[in-house]
Amino acid sequence: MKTINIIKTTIFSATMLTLMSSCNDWLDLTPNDRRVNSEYWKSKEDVAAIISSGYSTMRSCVPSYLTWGELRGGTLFSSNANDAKLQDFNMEASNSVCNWSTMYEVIGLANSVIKYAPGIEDDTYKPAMRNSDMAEAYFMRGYSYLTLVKNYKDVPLVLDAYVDDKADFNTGKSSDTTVLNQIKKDVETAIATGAAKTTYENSWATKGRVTKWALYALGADACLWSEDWDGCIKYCDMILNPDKKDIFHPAFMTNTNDWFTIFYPGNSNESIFEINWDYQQYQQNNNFASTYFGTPPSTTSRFRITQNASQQIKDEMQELVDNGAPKGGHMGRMLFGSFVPVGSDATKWLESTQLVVWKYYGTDVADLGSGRNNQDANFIIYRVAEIMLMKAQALIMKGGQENWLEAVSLINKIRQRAGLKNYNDIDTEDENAATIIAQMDEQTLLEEVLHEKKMEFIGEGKSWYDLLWFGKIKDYKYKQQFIAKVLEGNETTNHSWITSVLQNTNAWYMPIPQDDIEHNNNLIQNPYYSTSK
Amino acid sequence: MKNIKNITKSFIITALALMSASCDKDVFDIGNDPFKGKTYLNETNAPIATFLESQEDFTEYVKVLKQANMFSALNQSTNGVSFTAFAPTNSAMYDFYQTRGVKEANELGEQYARSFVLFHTVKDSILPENFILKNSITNLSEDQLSVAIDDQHAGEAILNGEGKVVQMGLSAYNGKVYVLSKAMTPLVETVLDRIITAGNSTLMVEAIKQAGWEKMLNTISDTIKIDKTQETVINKHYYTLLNVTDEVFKKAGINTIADLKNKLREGAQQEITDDSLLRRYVSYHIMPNAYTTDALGNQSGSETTRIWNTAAKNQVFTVTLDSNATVQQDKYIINASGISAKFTEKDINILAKNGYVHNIDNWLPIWEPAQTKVVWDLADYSEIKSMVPAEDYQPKEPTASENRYRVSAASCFTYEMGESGSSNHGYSDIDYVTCKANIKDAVNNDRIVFNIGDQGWVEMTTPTLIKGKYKIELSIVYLAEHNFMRQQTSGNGGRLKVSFDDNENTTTFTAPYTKVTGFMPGIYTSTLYDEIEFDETAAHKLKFIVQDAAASKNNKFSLQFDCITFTPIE
Repeated sequence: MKTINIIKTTIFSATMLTLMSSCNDWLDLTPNDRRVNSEYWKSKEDVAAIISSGYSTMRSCVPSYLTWGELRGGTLFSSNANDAKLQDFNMEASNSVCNWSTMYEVIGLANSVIKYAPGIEDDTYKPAMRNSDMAEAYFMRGYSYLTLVKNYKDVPLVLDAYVDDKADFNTGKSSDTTVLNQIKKDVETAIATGAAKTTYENSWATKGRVTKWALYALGADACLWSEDWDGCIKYCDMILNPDKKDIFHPAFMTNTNDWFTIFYPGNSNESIFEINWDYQQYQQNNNFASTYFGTPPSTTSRFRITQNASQQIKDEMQELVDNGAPKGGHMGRMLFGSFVPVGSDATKWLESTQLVVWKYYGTDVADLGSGRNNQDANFIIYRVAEIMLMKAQALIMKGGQENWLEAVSLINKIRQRAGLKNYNDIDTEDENAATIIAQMDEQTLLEEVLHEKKMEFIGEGKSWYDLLWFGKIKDYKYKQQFIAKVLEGNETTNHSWITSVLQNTNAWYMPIPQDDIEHNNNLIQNPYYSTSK
Repeated sequence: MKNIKNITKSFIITALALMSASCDKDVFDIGNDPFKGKTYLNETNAPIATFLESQEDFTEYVKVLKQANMFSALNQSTNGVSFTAFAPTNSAMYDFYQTRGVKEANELGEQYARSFVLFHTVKDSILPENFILKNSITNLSEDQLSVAIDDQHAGEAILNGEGKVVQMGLSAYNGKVYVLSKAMTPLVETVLDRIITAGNSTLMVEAIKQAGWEKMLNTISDTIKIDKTQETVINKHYYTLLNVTDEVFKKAGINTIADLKNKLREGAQQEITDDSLLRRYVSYHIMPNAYTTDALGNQSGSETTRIWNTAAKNQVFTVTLDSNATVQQDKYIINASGISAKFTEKDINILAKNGYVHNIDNWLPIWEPAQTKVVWDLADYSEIKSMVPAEDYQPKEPTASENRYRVSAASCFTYEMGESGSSNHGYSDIDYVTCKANIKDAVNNDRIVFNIGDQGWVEMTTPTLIKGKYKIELSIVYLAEHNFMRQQTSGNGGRLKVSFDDNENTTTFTAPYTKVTGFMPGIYTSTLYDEIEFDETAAHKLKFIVQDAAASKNNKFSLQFDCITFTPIE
């Protein structure tokens, strides 16, 4: 109990960092992380405190999760000048948007837990608890590296804890393949002990801390990125078809009207892992709405929904209306779900020229004036709907009539929950379904999954990674289609510029931060951003 | 975006010398380096010339700067002046020396070196993210440099179809440096100079002189006074010349001017003099604006033939796109249904200070084509082009923001404000406005906004139309602020009284904003005439009078026209 209380307190207060202020290396250079002196590790509470700091630091990563994951994906665009350089592929290594130091802070904290937790001599620190702590650290490290690989491709792979100045701070880059293999190995290691929790004693912690479900989700994500289709399907199934003894597990919420509970109040049944904030108890705001998404009916916001995505939203809304949905009020993932129109009358969504993200600001009341009292919406890292669509991606790539049939079945479940008809009216229970689907092709099916992900996860930091994955798979088989999709969604720069830039696949990734290039002699800049021609 | 790293030299700024400059070129006319003897904290604080001197790869361009006596000038930052330097690498300079037939910078001569530097310098510090949005920029020799993204090399651009930009926006104290792996050839010749220099078009040159076009084709700009305001403006002239070489004339049996006149006499009316025939022929080969061959061949929608005005009164030619052509030379056919011509494989898009020269492979006599659909972009006038910054005139793609320029002084508009004036202060009387992505279907991504109040009127001359019957449609830009016009909650939807050639019989009334069918901003088209017949091939005067009280009373009222389409009726 004591440990849990400490963790919750520090997750929400982030004051734990000050406890370690005796360590005078907090201002260390990235990617060398905050170092926790080896003398520090005495008890299980010490481990808990560092894990708490890991969660707290992950919260600081959320602006990067959002910015990196959205701005090139064509769903949201930013009015901020530095952001615009990212979304318009004008990045420079000196741009603060590509600063990775917070990710490496998380990695550093995780590394220290992985290094020192096994050696703590504390009789009350049982193996199950020790391994459970380490499972959380493995997730933090793995998720951070996966995010880095998705954004920089090749990155320094730091696995040891920096405890003194004898450590080598000049780590060169490892290939994305090496890093992905390490992530998968970490997931396997964490799962193998069997100590990763299924649930925690508190409901918030079951979603706000790492569980074995989160590890499975990370495994699925890493396998999908590394084109290990069987591995991805295996991990997805561990979530979608859990062992019967796991009574409590994340579950896909099928009721359309329940969709918004994923975000308000959050920590829903569908959630696998989400980063928590709590104003009521800990007076903490994340300011998602005021900083990024706007506070309706205000018309100004940093992140705005693109015209391209707005049109797709309106198309889906029209289908819902045609299917008999009421024109106002909650409409599943659409009106008062993902978005609301700017203005005083939400029923005028069709006429509206600007839609804004509602999921981080709204409440369960379908009214423009019913925003949250406090800006403490959680940020979801993984939820079951994404796992279903990840599995669909892997099944499509794996190929074969049965796999494609199952992929369409998964897509249909997402669509049905959204209140939409089956994809192309294909009823997968129908005896002719497999024959119809067999006449389709891989690209068509992938594009449908991408569309569903785009509509389902608006503003959840996923859209760019989905496009990037599409562009890079099978040795860039869909490179030109990827470029076309980036163009569709970009409305802030010259399309011929984007077309030109994206011919170079290195430009799909960000530059390594200039500070790190200058301070680490072994770091080599992404060739697209280097100066030599 | 490429950026420089590993700056090696270290400087400390101690002082800045101040100088004043009266015009763009004058900023270069200084004899000493205002930064001479100074040191700088770091290289990003070094001015451009000093920065270039500190880099190994620009030693040749620095020699050119010194040869031109402009090294110091490029270091200036007086009164906030800033530059963008397009700096060729050493390799680019060696290649350039070779094409000029010289071995080193000092063989270029001071005057040529000066032209070279002026041509490679822009008086403005252009950020890379802005540079890539531009279609063209104006350099210190007042030439427009076209900007095209290099679709073959990621993150690179091509200037004027020649200079290769391989790195963008290196920072210096007084501006930006863009690195060129291929230098540009300075423009010093006019359209006429170009064909004189080429030396293979003596007949055409003589015909131009005899037809009285010599002075105009040698004119780059003139100064005019606007009657109403007495405002003085510099009016630049642009031309496109379809040039016929001596060899091509020879194939048509024309070896002398006398032969040409005789040929033009064939089938001509007796009362027209030989000189008039020659003048019409030469004018037929001149267009009063600058167009590349691709611009001339560009078709809208599924159309394959486009009609183009010439400087010859009421004479047009057509350009037909052959989409099955496998070689570039066969892609565009001029007057495909008449005595046709094609652009030659080489010697096209020859850029001059005042336009383009395109050589053609036939002598191209005047020919009247059959009726063809005509899309009249109301902004497609040389004068408007002259008034609008090059990068904002007919942008290739929608612009990031709406850029507005008053163009009512252009002689293509005859107009009068309504007595009650306008309440809309967001626009002037007649503005040229670029379109954002929400109006992506606008022809040439621009529009003309008329804000002339109730009872205000405008008269414009149409492109030349082949005689016959047409359906005429008006395409307007609809914005959310026009909702009151669409729904007529204030005024009557922008009602207009329209007529041609002051002929009351052609009068029609339309309220174009009541024809907007959707809610979304965009281009909406309404019919002005289901059928109207023009008896002769000519340009016509189109006049519209605003008859909507909201035009004077409502501060959101504006008429925003994209184009007028004339579709032939069989």
